[in-house]
Amino acid sequence: MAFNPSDIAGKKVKENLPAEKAKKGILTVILNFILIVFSVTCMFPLIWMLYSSLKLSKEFQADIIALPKAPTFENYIYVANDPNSHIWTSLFASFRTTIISIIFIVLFSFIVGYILSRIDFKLNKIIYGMFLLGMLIPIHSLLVPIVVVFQKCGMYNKWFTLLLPYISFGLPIGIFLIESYLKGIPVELEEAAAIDGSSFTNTLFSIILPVCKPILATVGIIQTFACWNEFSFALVLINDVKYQTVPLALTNFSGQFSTNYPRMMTAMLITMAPIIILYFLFSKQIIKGMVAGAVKG
Amino acid sequence: MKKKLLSALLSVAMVSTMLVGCGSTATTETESAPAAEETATTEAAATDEATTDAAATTASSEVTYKGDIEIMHYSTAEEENSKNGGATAFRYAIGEWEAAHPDITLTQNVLSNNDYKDKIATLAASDSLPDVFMLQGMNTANWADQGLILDLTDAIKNSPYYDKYTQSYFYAFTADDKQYAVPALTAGTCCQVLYNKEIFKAAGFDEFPETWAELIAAQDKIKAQGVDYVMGFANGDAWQANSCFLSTLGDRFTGADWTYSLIENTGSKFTDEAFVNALTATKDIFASGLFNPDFNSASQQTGNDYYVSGQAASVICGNWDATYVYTNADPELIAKTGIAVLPQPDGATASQKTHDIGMGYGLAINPKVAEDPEKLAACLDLIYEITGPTFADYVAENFALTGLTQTADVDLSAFDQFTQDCYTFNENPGCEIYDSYIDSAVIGVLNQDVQAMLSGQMTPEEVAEETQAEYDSVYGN
Repeated sequence: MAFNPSDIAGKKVKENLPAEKAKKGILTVILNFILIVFSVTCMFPLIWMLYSSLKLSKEFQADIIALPKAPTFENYIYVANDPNSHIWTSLFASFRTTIISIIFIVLFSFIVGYILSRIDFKLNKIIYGMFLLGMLIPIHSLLVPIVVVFQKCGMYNKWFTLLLPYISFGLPIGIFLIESYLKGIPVELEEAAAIDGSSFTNTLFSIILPVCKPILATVGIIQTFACWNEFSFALVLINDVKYQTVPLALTNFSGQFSTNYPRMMTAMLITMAPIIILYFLFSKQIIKGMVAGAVKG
Repeated sequence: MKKKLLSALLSVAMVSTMLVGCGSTATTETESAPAAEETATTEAAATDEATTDAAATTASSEVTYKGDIEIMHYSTAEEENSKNGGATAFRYAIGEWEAAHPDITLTQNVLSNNDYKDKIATLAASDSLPDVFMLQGMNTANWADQGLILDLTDAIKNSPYYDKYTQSYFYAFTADDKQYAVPALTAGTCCQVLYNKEIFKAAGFDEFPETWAELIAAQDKIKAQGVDYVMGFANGDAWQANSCFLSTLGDRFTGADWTYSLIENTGSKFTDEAFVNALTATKDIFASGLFNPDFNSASQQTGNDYYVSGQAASVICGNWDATYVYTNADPELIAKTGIAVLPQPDGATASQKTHDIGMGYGLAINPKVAEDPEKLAACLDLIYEITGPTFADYVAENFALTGLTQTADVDLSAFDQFTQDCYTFNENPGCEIYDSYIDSAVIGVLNQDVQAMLSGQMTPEEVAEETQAEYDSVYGN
């Protein structure tokens, strides 16, 4: 359905005058054109990756935009079977790291966010400020100290190595969003629960948690993308092939002076698939959460 | 229904653009690497004499070690797939050594070159380097000062292949007369011109023009043969103009002694007239209209593709690009491709027909390994084998390339003319590659400034002054 500017006001204006009609028509065309251009720029990379993955490197180099002349699944067969690309092990490692991280990020952000927003104690503002400062520190400046600490603590290059940095760097944004969201929820909700004899824990998890679902989904989604794509920590903290996450495995498709782009795109599509499926499954929840985050956050 | 379909498509596009974004982390990461390197907090401990002795005594002993060895390198499977001779032979030699030592678990950490550089810089800064790793020539002096690499001087002398080593390649890994790494992978030129003989013949040249003046004067004639550009080049990563052009052109103006003096900090300056003249010549040549207009931002692959696709009549590149062109170009184009040295610029008299050649990376050992003499012996054995004849013979026989050890009687007859020409091209007089020797911080400034100069934002004098200032601060002048 085309976008009609008069819908913005939420009411249909009488369109009697031909001049006014023409004006609106032109505006509709322009606005739709802008939206279409924007949509195409968003969608094209994916479509381009899809059809380029069906080309071989030589054909791709000859013309990077052209459609494949003789589509082939050779890249898919190679990526799926080649032991050097270890795409399946890296997918498993990424899943494990992402799922565990998200569970903890959401849980800790929710509890800390709730306490900071509802309980007034002396260090409340300072603790909140310190969490927010976490968002301001560029992670590259922390790579060396973190490597040193992990080496000394014997936590370097283990299956759980990436959990700690992912969870701790995911908390600030989570706490920030949840704390702001909770401010918009009336305290009377908890007061009513307290009158009915609900304990603190019960109120927190049975009354407040369901209310916070949209913002928890937002935090979960933002952090899923962040954990799935994270590269710097994975690069410096992981050596073993079996613990390497997807972004690291993808570097195997790059050489020093050349890159097999169609093969790399194939691997990207395979590794993106789970996230896309996840997105389809939870698309309603995600959009709700995004809107909630935008309005309240 | 249509609405649902459109929203589904938009959703997919949004998710995918977020995911595709992961590629860019690598780029931003690259920029951070020098910072990580600079902020190195590692305690600077001089390499202790005891470890040096250990390296010497265990060098030629038998491998009795049973346990783990960790090696980090950048010869990825993709390198092998794209028929990179050095990487293929390197992986082959490692495989051979691994098979011959079943009691040792060799853990390989293989990353693409860019990621490798980032990671090794971080590991060096946190003093947690792997047992064996690839050391870039430019880091030798700095890392040796910090005690991050084991002195291998005696171990190299005790190598079973010592007599076969081409000694000049060790220069990049020498600091204070001590050698810290064994040069690895292939020795190949960093600067050669691949050109379409047919096009140049039609424009009146039986051989590639010997001077830049001739080439610039003939550019219209050459373009009239149906090509867009006379030369393809790519400096998108900023190091190419330095490694694949300026190191050679500079040598023509300054001569080798100036370069050695600069490396050893015994008097040469970037602000010396000869070097400024080389910068000026570089600027003028790139402004002459010979090149693809996007040369300063194009990726290495794009530069080569101009030649492969027939848009450019020639391309300036390193030996690795020759492999790329050979693999990707039409066999007909390969048959008419000639190889030449960089033409001579006006006013350059210090040397002629030179090309910069060397081995940019060597295998080094973490000094902590020396605490276990058996492990050290195993690491040394690994290095001897993957830089020795197993490697050199493999690259010579399969790719007509050379390694650290000399291979006698390479039979070139099995290779086509182009491959033979690539092999014999190395007989031209060699000169040094700046970025194999000079400290990485100085090279970083030079690379960025040359790139800025080529896009008209800086003058040659400004480039020379800024680079010299960084050189003075790094070398403590």
